[in-house]
Amino acid sequence: MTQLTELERDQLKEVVNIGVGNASTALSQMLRKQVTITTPDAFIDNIEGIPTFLGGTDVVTTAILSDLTNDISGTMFLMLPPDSAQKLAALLTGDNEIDIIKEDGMGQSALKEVGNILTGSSMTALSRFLDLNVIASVPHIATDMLGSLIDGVIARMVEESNTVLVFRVHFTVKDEAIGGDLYLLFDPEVTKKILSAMHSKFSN
Amino acid sequence: MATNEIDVRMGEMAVGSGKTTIKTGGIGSCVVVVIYDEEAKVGGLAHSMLPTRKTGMVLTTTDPIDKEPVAKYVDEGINRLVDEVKKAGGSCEHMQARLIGGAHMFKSIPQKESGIGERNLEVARATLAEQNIPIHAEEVSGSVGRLAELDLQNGIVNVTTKM
Repeated sequence: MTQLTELERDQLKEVVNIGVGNASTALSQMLRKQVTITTPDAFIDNIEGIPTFLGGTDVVTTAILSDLTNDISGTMFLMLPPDSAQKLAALLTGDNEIDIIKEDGMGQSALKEVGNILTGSSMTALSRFLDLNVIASVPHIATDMLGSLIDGVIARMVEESNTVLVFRVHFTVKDEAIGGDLYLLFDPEVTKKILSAMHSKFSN
Repeated sequence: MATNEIDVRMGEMAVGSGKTTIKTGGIGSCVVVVIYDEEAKVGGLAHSMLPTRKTGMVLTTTDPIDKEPVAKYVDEGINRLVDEVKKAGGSCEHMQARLIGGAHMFKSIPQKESGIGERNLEVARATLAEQNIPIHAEEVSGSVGRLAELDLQNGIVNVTTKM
């Protein structure tokens, strides 16, 4: 994974951009608000550096994650500061006091729906573009220290590697104090698969 | 009072004595193993991610970014930690262990699919048993993230949560 060239990394970013561009449109339709996203950042780092890169091990964060399986295996997750997550849930449900910590409550349900839409729309775009199959799991949600939420995800990724490649896109909702990051982590062998799918697409 | 603070990141470990605290945070399914020798007043802490090395895992690159953290695996991490505490003056007969972590953070993920926390704990208990090191206390499982802090002057471990 560390042998990626600058060009390959740019190509992967472009693939992520295609997926996430679709996701922001879907979120914008869902919220009836303008949603702005940044172009993807790609980070490759050693295991120990990942939690710091994602925003600090001990920072309390709300994470909504979906597992990706089939050709494009990995994990996609949305991370928001809890107050941002609460505002997002409030906007969707019309209940300003909505609780997002209560297990299986309306707040969690609304946020999982956001996860569903973001993952579903980005993966649909990706799989169409690359002619690869991907299945996204139902979303799972939790609020706790960032490091504790992602260590299980990272552990699975580093079973056969010591490096993790992470794509990040920051999004904000216009006129609302809502912002968060969308992360895409591919399993180590998947980056090569995506690159070769891109090559065959462009050589045809 | 000047106290040294050592921060241990995921996959790392630290050993010491005297006016020093070793801290590590954001513990989810990872397991943090604390080993302390009450007599010699030395000890350390390892923050491990995976139960054991997958057979046949060989790294092909020499890139520094691919460097393997010393305590990535629970079993190897514990053995290394015990060795380091011995080097610092500890002896196996007086060592006691404590376990922190091994949680299952996303309640809606079926346990059998992602029982990495539980597997980490099983391997930690088995490795400590092999080394004949008794487990003095555990603050494990559940669905909560933890922070751990070891005071090397007295071996007291503080475990806190944020939720």
